[in-house]
Amino acid sequence: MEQKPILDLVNVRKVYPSRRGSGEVVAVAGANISVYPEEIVSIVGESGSGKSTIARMALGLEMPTSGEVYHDGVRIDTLSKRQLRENRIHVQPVFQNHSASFNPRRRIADILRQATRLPEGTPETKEAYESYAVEMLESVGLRPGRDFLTRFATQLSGGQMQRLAMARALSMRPKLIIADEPLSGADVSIRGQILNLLEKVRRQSHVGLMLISHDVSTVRAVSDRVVVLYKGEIVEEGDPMEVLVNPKHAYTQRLIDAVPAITGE
Amino acid sequence: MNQSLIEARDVSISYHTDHGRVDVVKHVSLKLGKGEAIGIVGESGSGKSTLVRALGGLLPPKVSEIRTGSLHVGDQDVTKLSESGWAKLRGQRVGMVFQDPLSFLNPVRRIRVQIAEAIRAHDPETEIRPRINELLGLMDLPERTADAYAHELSGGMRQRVLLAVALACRPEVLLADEPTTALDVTTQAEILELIRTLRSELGMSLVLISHDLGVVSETCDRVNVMYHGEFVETGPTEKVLGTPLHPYTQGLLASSRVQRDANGMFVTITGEVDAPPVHHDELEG
Repeated sequence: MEQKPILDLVNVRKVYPSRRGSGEVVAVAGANISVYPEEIVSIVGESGSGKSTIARMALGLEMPTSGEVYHDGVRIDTLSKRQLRENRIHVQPVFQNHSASFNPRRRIADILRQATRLPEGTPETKEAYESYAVEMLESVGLRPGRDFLTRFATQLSGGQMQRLAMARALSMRPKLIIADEPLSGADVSIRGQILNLLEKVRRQSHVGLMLISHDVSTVRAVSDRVVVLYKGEIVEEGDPMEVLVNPKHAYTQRLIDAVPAITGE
Repeated sequence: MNQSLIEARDVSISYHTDHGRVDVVKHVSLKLGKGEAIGIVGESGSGKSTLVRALGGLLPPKVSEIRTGSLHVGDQDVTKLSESGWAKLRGQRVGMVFQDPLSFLNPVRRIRVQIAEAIRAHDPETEIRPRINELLGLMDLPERTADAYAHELSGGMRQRVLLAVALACRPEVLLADEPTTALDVTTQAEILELIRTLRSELGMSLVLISHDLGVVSETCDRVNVMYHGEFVETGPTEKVLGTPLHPYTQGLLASSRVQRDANGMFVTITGEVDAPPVHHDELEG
């Protein structure tokens, strides 16, 4: 790809002081990860492998101990808080626990309005925000969008809430979405819908996606590239059909073997 | 005839809510024999947890009601059993583990105290300390785990502790409601392996609830697929998951495998999956 990456993590390392006083805990031991427009890059690994630390550094919520983080060519780990806020619009998160991430007392129209960056040149009127919100809701399959505006997030089903989380992330017109376990807790019948939505979103809005997951079958099916993280280090990366079918590293093999097989597979 | 450890006949369970009656489980029958492992699979809201709670006598009082059918644990009819009656059965006849061990473990008491309570509840004669060590050993936990608090343990270790509590009084049946859902896939594999070992070493029977077909497939002899409160397909695991006949089971399998359809879209379960239930045993007969 000749394009510039939207997200570029260059040799990022994150070290936390140990809770027992002396010593330190290496959460991420020097990782290089880039995500290009329209690309889906997945990060797999067990809890404690450093997946979420990478996500937080990519979002600029946490700064690396050493190394560099670039959003669309702009280095963000050296920015002031204010500058960072202005730059972070390019990268939006979608978290796992949707019900906890929406204000239960606000209507969906307000939830989206707060997270909206209207297209250039659009006057900031109530109508403009509303019609933009409707557009976003419909793009994630919440139709007719107008019917959802006055409802509360708590009135939605799990699958609808996941769509709303995606609509909220898209409202900022980001170039990259970082989804931390967007499918965990979702029923398998909904999983297909969410995956179809992710694919549609990246094609229509040209966004890149960083997908953090421990669901090997999903990662294999949707990613362009997969990064396997183990104890803070990238132990393997590449084409998911290669890495997750013929792994080279013992941990990746263990991860694949651990996935329970369904009779008849 | 082979004596069932648990038998449900035509059981329906409803909740009484502010918005009226909700029928959560509808005319469900199942039998669990000695040493058998049966799985109940279904999605959120299918009624699987309500059913397993009924089997463990943990339905919320007043708001829930077993409306039809009967429930037996051993030769005892427990359909209308009181809480004090259940207190005797639970622990000795049935032990339970759940998805989230942390909410069942007391955060301010050491693990030792919590296992000891479970032992004393039914076996006041037993010498506590050796039994605790025996249980921890059975769960592949080091003896020093007894001195820890729940928050100091990893998710996998907490689930092992919960198993030790559940099995403290050597129940005949383990009821496990999504025991590995909150765990990493590698830790999940270890806990499932432990449950299989416990079954063969202790001759324990198992009712396993999961939304994950793979988990049930690897652990259970028989599977019941639950949808909207009904068993839509039942039978031996290799029949139900190998050659599913009900459209809902087929949809569940296709979406579990993250398959794409002819248009390159991921398979979802949509539209009509209503069809008469399929009971593989009756097909044979």
